[in-house]
Amino acid sequence: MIIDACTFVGRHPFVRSHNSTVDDLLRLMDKAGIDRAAVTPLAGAFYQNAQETNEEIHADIRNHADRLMLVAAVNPAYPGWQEDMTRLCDDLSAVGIRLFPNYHAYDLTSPEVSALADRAGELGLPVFVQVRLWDERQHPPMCMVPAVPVAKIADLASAHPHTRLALSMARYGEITSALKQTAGAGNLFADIAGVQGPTNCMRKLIADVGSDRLLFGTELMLQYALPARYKVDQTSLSDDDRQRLHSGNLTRIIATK
Amino acid sequence: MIIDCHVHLQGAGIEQELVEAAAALGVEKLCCSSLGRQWSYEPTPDVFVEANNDVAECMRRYPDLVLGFCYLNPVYTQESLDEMCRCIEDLGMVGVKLWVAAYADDPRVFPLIEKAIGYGVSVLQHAWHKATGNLPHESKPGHVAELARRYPEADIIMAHIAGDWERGIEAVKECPNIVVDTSGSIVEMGMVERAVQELGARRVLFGSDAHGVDLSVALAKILDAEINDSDRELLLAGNMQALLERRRS
Repeated sequence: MIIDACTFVGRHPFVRSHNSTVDDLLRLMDKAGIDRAAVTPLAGAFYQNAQETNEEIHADIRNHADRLMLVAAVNPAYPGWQEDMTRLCDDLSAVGIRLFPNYHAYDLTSPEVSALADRAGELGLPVFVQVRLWDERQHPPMCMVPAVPVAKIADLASAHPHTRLALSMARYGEITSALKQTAGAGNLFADIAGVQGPTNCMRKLIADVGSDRLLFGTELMLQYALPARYKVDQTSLSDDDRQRLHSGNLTRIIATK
Repeated sequence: MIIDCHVHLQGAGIEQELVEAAAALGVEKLCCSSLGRQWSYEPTPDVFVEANNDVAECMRRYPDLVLGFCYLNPVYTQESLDEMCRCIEDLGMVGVKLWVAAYADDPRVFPLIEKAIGYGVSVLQHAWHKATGNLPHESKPGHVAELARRYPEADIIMAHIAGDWERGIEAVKECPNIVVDTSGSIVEMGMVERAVQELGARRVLFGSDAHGVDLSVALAKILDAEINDSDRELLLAGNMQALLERRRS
């Protein structure tokens, strides 16, 4: 079983894409041998009222509930997010939430984020923090968004030990830094969508931080899926490590709902 | 047959695990250059000679796997010409690597290109258009296109499809003597397909940028691309093979 912790549907407003729909995502998952995926609406990074984007894709996802799970976009800097969180759990069957701090322009030390982290912990929803959508060197000139400092995400995890958080699209060095910072608490995870090197990167990353807090992730449909498969499957890992990456860890953090 | 057109040494050599990864993935040739044991943006002749000696040692150690590209600094024009002569004629290297010491269309590059044309070897030219800002003399795709227009008989490999691949492809589309390589950490969906569609499959090469990039990641984006199998074979080996066959003995 392979579960992808990081996929998106929808289009970036400034970048052409041939694949954007739920059907496209399912086809690409099939092609890469991915069984299930956590899906977030890409527009959730760009709408101020991110909840509208969750509502827009909910029906499409619900029709494929055996394969797709909603990780909802939430903007704690926009009014009404508290009610949105309740609806996400009660009505939209969200299994997690995703934050875009530098797209929605708030700081992770703000009181709203602290309140959101507490509420997510109460609801058993893991909080995925999007460090970047993609490499900053590639950003369109009118939409240059800096990466979220991972130390701030680690601080947030340390301050909310009952909430599970995850770095999304972090680099190798960012992951090692943040996971080591929170080694004692153990409530901070990271997907591997942003790790493209060095040689045998997954074996080295596991040697650095262990395998129990890493999540398989591709960042479909912004990135190819097969590179994530290959970096896990074409390196020498134990069966246990591979199983944790492929699905075990993600299942563990979303199963508390 | 798979040929990786863009590999760098790690320190003074190649890690054994890269050799093993290449074997496991079916990558039979690695085109290797060294950017210096400590990467140097503006290498002195001592540095690039040492780097090339390291590559030559890897060629001796892995004769069936490693093909050498010599690293030069056009700012030291005469020393670079002498070093190219040594690397191609004496050490059996098959290409030239230029990084960020000078823009690709800097006049100090021209004598090196003319000599590479004489040898029939390709010039692997780094290029990237960075929204975050380039290094002081780091080429953008327009610089590479300018060089290619000046020397239409030169075989130029523009590395990384210039990072910002949509811009890079557009900039070199009308320069038939530029091929692009897919190396680097960018795995954005559509980059390989767009390159093949706009440039033609004969102008796209598989490259990894190992050791910095995981060889399996780089290969997987070619395997994942929605292109036909005959085009994929060109990217993975056929095109680089054709460039290598142009080397004059």
